[in-house]
Amino acid sequence: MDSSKRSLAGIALAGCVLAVLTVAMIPVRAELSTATDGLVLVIPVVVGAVAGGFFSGVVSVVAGFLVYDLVFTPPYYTPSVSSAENLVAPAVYLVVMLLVARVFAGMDAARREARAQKDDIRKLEEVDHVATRLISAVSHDLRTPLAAIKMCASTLRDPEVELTSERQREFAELIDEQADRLTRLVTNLLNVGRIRAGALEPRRELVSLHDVVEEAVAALVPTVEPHRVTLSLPNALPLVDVDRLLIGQVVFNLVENAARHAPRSSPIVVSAREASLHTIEVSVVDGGPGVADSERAAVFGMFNRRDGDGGAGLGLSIAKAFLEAHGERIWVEDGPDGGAKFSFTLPAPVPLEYERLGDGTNTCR
Amino acid sequence: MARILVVDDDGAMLRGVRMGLEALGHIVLSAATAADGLAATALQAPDAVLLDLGLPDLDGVEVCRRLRAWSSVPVVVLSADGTEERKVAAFDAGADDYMTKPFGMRELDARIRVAERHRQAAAAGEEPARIAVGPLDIDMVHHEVRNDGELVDLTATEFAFLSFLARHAGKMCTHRMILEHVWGDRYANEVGYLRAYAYRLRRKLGDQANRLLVTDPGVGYKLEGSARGPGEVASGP
Repeated sequence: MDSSKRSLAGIALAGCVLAVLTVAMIPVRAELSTATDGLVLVIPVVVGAVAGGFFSGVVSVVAGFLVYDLVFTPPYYTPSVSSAENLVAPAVYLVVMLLVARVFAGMDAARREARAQKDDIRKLEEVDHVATRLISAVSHDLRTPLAAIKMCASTLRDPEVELTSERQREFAELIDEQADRLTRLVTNLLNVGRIRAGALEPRRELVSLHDVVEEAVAALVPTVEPHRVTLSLPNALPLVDVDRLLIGQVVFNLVENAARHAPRSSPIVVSAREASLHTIEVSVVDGGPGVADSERAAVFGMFNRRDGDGGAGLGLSIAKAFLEAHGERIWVEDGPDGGAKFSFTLPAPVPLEYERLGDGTNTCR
Repeated sequence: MARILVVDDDGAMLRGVRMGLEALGHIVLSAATAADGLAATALQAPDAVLLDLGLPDLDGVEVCRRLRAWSSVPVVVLSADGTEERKVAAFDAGADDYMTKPFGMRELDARIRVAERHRQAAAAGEEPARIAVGPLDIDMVHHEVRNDGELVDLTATEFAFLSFLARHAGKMCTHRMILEHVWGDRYANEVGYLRAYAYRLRRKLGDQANRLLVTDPGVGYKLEGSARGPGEVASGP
């Protein structure tokens, strides 16, 4: 790709070195033996071969030979072709320097190859590192609900433990909830697979944002206590044209993320507003520590999670992927009280004004 | 019955441990953060602490280290992460045991009991003159070991290795702990010594299946069973 550029650079560099050395040696050339001149002129060839490769080395050799012959071999400024005796030193120079250029260019190529291999290895190590993180994140998220299920089940089947029917139901409830939690995790992992494969095609329909948000918040029980979540949606909102399952998952993931990063009892507010004629902006605000400027791009990355965070770091990246599949966007900024405010846009193809003109919702179906 | 503090940031884990331990007759206290866990340990003086490593405010290993600065309460780590590094870090920070999620309640209960007994033995102060572990009877004064009543011929280092594990019977001892105590601080990284001596001990004790001297690869060794003083009758598991 840039090998010709590199050759040119090598030739230019060798030319400069040759020019400088020549100018420096001209005043004393009478005192120097031709052998000394030849030795000094090895330098531009080596520079040319190392910096620009074999071709640049060859050009440097030819230039060096001409300079050697014309400037440093008496009679000066005359080609020595006439006198075979005077041609010996430049000719030997020419042959030896071609070999030198070849050796140096070869050494350089080997070094580059080694460096490229090192780069490859580093890339492989990065892949390996990501895979390790993935496995550890998924393993953590699978093991925690499994641990709760195992504790309950091992107690229930213990013949020496007697439980009231009330207690038995509590154990069964916890098993049931944790099985749901595992299901959600597996669904999320499958979604990651679908996103990766590029197979995510939203099934759009006109739906009420109220329904989508309320379903998502209801599904969060008991991970997030319902009284923590305040819905601040205007009564009159245009319908949104989205895949209700995917956008429901987006709301779910954002609220769950908020609950995980904010203090246990702090409120989480889900709000919506008409940002423009055809766009609704939905926001989830929490009372947590917020997201620093430097982390704002990274929070949506796959398997990005804070130290000590219990999540797999999938929630936000899935939310982003689902919204991008709709052609919409998501971003994070500071909330009004210092927490994080995650916002995303949704398409509202039929503005409220038109909806009101018709009779009820039928007009927009 | 014991008062047990559970420190875990996951609500489901807290509920599961609480309900399970209560069903086994324990009293359960809970904390969802490292700060609450440390405070509860100081204020409520539980008989044992169950500690998750992935806490939101401070790493569990660090919690264990801080706790050990002023408390000798038995600590059993409950973690989703079963890697050697974490285990070694937790044991070196003073944890008595390490359980990888998921686990059954009976096993958790048994491990808590072992940790408590181990702590009580350590608190009893003076080194016992004799320790009995499983089939072994170790005379600390005369450096004599009997295996099912038969005298076992051990070198001084083999005896030091075995008696160190016996003093902590039932508890995983990390490579570093053993090397520092038996060989000295300068040998803390010579894991090869341990492998050689564990092999020789197993041969001399007839422990071919590694049931008595248990290896946790990359972590350390433990002598299976719990230490009994002289005259005590061996109790079932």
